[in-house]
Amino acid sequence: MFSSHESLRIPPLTSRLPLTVQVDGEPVQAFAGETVATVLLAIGRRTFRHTENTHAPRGIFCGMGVCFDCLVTVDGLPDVRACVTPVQAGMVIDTRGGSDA
Amino acid sequence: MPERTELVVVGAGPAGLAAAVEAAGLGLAVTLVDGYPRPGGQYFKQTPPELADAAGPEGHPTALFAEVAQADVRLVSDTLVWGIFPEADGFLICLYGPPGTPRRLLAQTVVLAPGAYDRPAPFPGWTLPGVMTAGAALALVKHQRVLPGRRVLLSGTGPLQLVLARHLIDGGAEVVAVLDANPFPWTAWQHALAAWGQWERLGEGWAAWRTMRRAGTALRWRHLVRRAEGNEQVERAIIGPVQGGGAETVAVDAICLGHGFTPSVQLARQAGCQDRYDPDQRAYVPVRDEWLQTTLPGLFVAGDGAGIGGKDVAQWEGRLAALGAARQLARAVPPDRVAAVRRELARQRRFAAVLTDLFPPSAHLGSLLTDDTVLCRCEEITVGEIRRTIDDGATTLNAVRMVTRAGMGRCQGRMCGGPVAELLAREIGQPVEAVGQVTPRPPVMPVPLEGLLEEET
Ligand SMILES: Cc1cc2nc3c(=O)[nH]c(=O)nc-3n(C[C@H](O)[C@H](O)[C@H](O)COP(=O)(O)OP(=O)(O)OC[C@H]3O[C@@H](n4cnc5c(N)ncnc54)[C@H](O)[C@@H]3O)c2cc1C
Ligand code: FES
Repeated sequence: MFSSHESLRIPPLTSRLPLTVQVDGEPVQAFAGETVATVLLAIGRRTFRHTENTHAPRGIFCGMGVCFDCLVTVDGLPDVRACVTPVQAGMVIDTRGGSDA
Repeated sequence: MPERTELVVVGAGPAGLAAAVEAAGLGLAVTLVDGYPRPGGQYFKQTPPELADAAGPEGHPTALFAEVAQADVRLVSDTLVWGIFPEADGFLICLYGPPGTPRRLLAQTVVLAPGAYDRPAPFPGWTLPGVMTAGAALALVKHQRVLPGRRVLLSGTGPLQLVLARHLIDGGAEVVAVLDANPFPWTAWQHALAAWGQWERLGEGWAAWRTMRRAGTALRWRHLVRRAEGNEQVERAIIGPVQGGGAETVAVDAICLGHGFTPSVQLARQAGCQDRYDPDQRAYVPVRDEWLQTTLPGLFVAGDGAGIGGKDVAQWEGRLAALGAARQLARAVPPDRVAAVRRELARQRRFAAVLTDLFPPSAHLGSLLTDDTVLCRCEEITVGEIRRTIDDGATTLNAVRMVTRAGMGRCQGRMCGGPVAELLAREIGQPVEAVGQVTPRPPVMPVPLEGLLEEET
């Protein structure tokens, strides 16, 4: 069930606390302390959303909460900045909103 | 009624931490507010404790943190300052944080220490996922322990790129090349470093250089990335010399842009401080007096938020601003302390100036833009659309903004303000300062509507 791209995570992972979140309906392993952006990158996901006007793919850019490119839907709340939002067990992350608004 | 305090410091990076400690030492009642969950800002950014034991060898530089822990400073973390309004008896500070955080503070004096963000450097394809700032990549590797990609290209200028390259290589990524848009500065470096005894920095540089040599990573001067290509994410980079031909294509899955930093001036502007264009920084910076006080008496700006100077300038500016605030509050300010702080600050500024001279923001970036390059990432406004408004007679940033909506998106022009102004100035043959700039409106950071209210609902 878990995606197996953990190799983008820099080892050692042994002392990290695993937890499970949902990404686009699939269970995905994450670790406590990670941001939503880190979890997406770690499973090989670069595209976090598509823009409304031109449907262009977007992902993490500034990594510090100022550019608003990394927006995803978290637990039903749209336009959450993935780069500054820590994951929590059971969090439901959606990248399919396609929304810019 | 808003809670009253003598000093509010906004931003808990090197500048804000030092300001808070210095002010508390002089007996001021200090509240230190920061938007992140943990204090430290950019330089002392803390790895989340759950990931910390896996983090690199550096650990946390602790001297300043220890001082803060001992000082009588009220720290309010995870809380954004979204607006500052001058009032008759001080400044009304508007906050938004977790439940229980005050929503308003009335401060007699304010030290803004909001830091900076990576200078946006548009080129064709820069919105593709996988293209990110050097700051983003370094934060991912150092503090999230995840690689931004497996085959990574670095393009920009300055020593931070080498630091990033070392962390990427140590983390297991392949760094295909480090491109620096400026020429090789070895002679100047040697003189600069030797003159001021910056051996610590020299050591860091060597460590990075050795790691790159071992990994076979090429450092190419006077080169930059010209275009990023790919379908859903970046797959190829077209790289070449800053001027002239000879482009080549390299396969990559991440590109990191390290063109230096640009000050976060939004809060100072929103509050109503006057600013001026600094051609060396290629940015607007707040006008300050010898106490780092802005044109609004009682409001000070310290650190990278007033012009990029690095962690040491930031700390000494923080201390000087705190002394200035104490003086403004009619407290006794020891003259020899003031003299010592000024001396140290002057020394650190000399080194910072050398770095700025060696690695100026590249003047060649503008030549990369094509009509279909997106400049405003939020509203997806292209160079072509902006050129059309210029052809139609627009000569100010505001005019361009009204027609195209460039700069009116969520980031409030933080990403596109500089690049659009530079494009406009180039096209109409005027200096950048002639085309004006974007004034952010409160809230300067997005806050839910409910969060704007004075009381929690
Ligand atoms: C990756 C990286 C590596 C670096 N390496 C070096 C180096 O080796 N040597 C060196 O001298 N310099 C280095 N620098 C630069 C150095 O980090 C900065 O010069 C220094 O951190 C500036 O300190 P500051 O206090 O001005 O701002 P910052 O450290 O940026 O801190 C600003 C703080 O303000 C907060 N803030 C901003 N706006 C708001 C708001 N509206 N509400 C609430 N809080 C807010 C932010 O959350 C942040 O914590 C590096 C920078 C980066 C990004
Ligand atoms: S990447 Fe810029 S806000 Fe998240």
